[in-house]
Amino acid sequence: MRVSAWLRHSCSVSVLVLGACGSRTGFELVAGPPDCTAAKDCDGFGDLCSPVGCVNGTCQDLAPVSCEDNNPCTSDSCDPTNGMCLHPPSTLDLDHDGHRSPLPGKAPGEPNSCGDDCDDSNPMAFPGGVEVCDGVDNDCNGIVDDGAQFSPVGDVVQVSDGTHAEPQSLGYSGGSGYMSVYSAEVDSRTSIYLHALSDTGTSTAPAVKFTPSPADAYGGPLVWIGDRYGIAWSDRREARGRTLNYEVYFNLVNPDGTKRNADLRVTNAEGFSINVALAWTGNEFVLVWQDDGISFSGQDALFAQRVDVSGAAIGGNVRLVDDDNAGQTGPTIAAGVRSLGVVWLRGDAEHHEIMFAPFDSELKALAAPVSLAGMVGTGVYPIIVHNQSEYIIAWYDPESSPTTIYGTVRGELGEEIVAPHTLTKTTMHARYPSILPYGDRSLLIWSDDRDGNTGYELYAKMIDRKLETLTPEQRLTNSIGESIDPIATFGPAGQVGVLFSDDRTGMPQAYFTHLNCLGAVAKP
Amino acid sequence: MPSFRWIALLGVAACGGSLADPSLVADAGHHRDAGHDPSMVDQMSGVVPGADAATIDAFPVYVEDACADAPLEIPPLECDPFAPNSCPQGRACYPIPPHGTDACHPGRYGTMCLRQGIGGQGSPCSDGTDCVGGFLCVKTGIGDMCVQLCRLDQFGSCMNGRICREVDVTGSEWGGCE
Repeated sequence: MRVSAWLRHSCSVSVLVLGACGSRTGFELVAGPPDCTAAKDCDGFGDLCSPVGCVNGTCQDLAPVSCEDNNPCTSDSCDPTNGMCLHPPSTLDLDHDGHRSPLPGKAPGEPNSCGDDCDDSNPMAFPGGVEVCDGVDNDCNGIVDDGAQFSPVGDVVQVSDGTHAEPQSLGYSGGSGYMSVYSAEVDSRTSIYLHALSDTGTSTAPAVKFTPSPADAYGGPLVWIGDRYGIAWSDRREARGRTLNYEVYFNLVNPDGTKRNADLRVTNAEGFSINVALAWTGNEFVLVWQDDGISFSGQDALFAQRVDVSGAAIGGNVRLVDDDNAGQTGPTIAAGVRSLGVVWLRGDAEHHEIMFAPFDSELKALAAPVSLAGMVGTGVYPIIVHNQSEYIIAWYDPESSPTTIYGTVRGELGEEIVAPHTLTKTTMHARYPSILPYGDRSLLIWSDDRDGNTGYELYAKMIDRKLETLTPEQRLTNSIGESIDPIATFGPAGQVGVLFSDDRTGMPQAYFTHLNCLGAVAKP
Repeated sequence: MPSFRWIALLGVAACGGSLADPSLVADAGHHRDAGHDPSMVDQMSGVVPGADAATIDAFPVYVEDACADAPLEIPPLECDPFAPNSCPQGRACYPIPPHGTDACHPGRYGTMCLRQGIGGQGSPCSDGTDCVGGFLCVKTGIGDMCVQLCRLDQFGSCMNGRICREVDVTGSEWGGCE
């Protein structure tokens, strides 16, 4: 009984005999035993940052240690084992070039940014660096490989095995080759594979089966952050019975493709947590995906999750945009200087529109979502990249005739800089844009079936910041079948690596090709 | 562009979308994969959350406890969606979802004759049987819709610039026209 316990601990038996507990009598009450005889008897003893003491038999909180140094460039904390203050830098230098990345929402080098590295994923980029053609903004002037042009090599290499495969991502860690990511079906099970490639696409190590569970796994955006990759994907290992259940997972990947931690399960709700995209802010990862299990309406909705540099979740899942019961699908994300740009589709398969909104580093909207396509049709599968101080967004519209690719430019807070307009001219169908930003221009790669070569081929051209054509179109592939889904990344020696899907041998497989840097870099 | 995998929505109690326990949402980011020993994270990586990366030694490697010798389960096949007269009139052949028992035994897709729907290419759907025979209901990056069934190994099986894209009905080599 609780009452018995209360009596037993509050009044001695002798007091009860003399009078009621706490009664006002002429007798002096006998005090109970002291709370403590020494500090070690007190709760919290041993935490030297929040010390406790025993004063006159009573435990008391003593003055806590204050470690605040009023310096935004340090993360202040106290070590409870010794009471000493810790003031490590609040920003990272993952590429170890002596220059730290800025705080979220700050431009490199601006006051209180606590960092001046324009690209902390590459030690060859820092203020004062010498610009060379290497796919890097070496001198941090906002422009990659100033003035350089590119030439396709005209050679392709199959990088996947299995019954069939889909390219997912292409990473570059600053070495002499690439890390390709694809999902491949082997023995009737689809897994994600990481395969290290040379600068020409040949294998430099056996492909690593990254998701060893027999449950099907898809996705795999891979982001290099200076000393490791982050990767995200969906798989159905948690499915039970006949209810399909895909969950989103995250992990860190070493440069050699080995897994760094146990898989971090990001979602935990029945249904489809799929189509995950990934960005690195300079301080943490942000995942976005579509989810019909978390949303109470059963409709697909956009969710996001922050993950720290060690691969641990920061907080829980966040619903990005509450849009009543409108479907939200196919999100992609890019990290800017002052915001995170997210694009997605709103609506259903028949009636939908492409939406854009900027978010801060804590995933709070900086502006209301806006519809992008507007007068130029509907469009599907938007992509977004950050280019110097703005976002480039591109998509294609399968309902337009001919099917073509559109693009627009938005500022970091959502303002329109370049209105939506066509990026490609075709007589047939243009699809699947991929954009590589150079600061003052961008490389556009896409698929087009206009040449009568039975299927789609890959093409590339440079566009300026107004999205106008700068260079003639160059054809990257030449084969019967579909060359689609290009994924472009900067590679060694100024190369541009391209991973794509091709069914020239009968079934879709992941292939690699590249463009070489031509000409000297123009110096200011 | 990133590939958006098409996932088939199926004919038999297959659709997700059941309401989540909100408490799971709040905690979701903290869950570790239940299939592995979480203590190995610390043992293997030694990584301190939030630590400055300069203090982190290079390349800790996590060795995963994979599902060794997981048998390839036999799919329940009642019909072939490409074969004529595979199902009685008014019914059509649809994939049915895998029956998973644990992470190492996720099951495999099968097929079953079910009453067919009316949805054609691009029609919204919530279940495989919303679509007419020869079409799949797939979850895509542009909503749930009916798409024409195609074979990945048959070039040109989709018309008008459409492409036969992979779906998650593993072991079938089926695709859907995008």
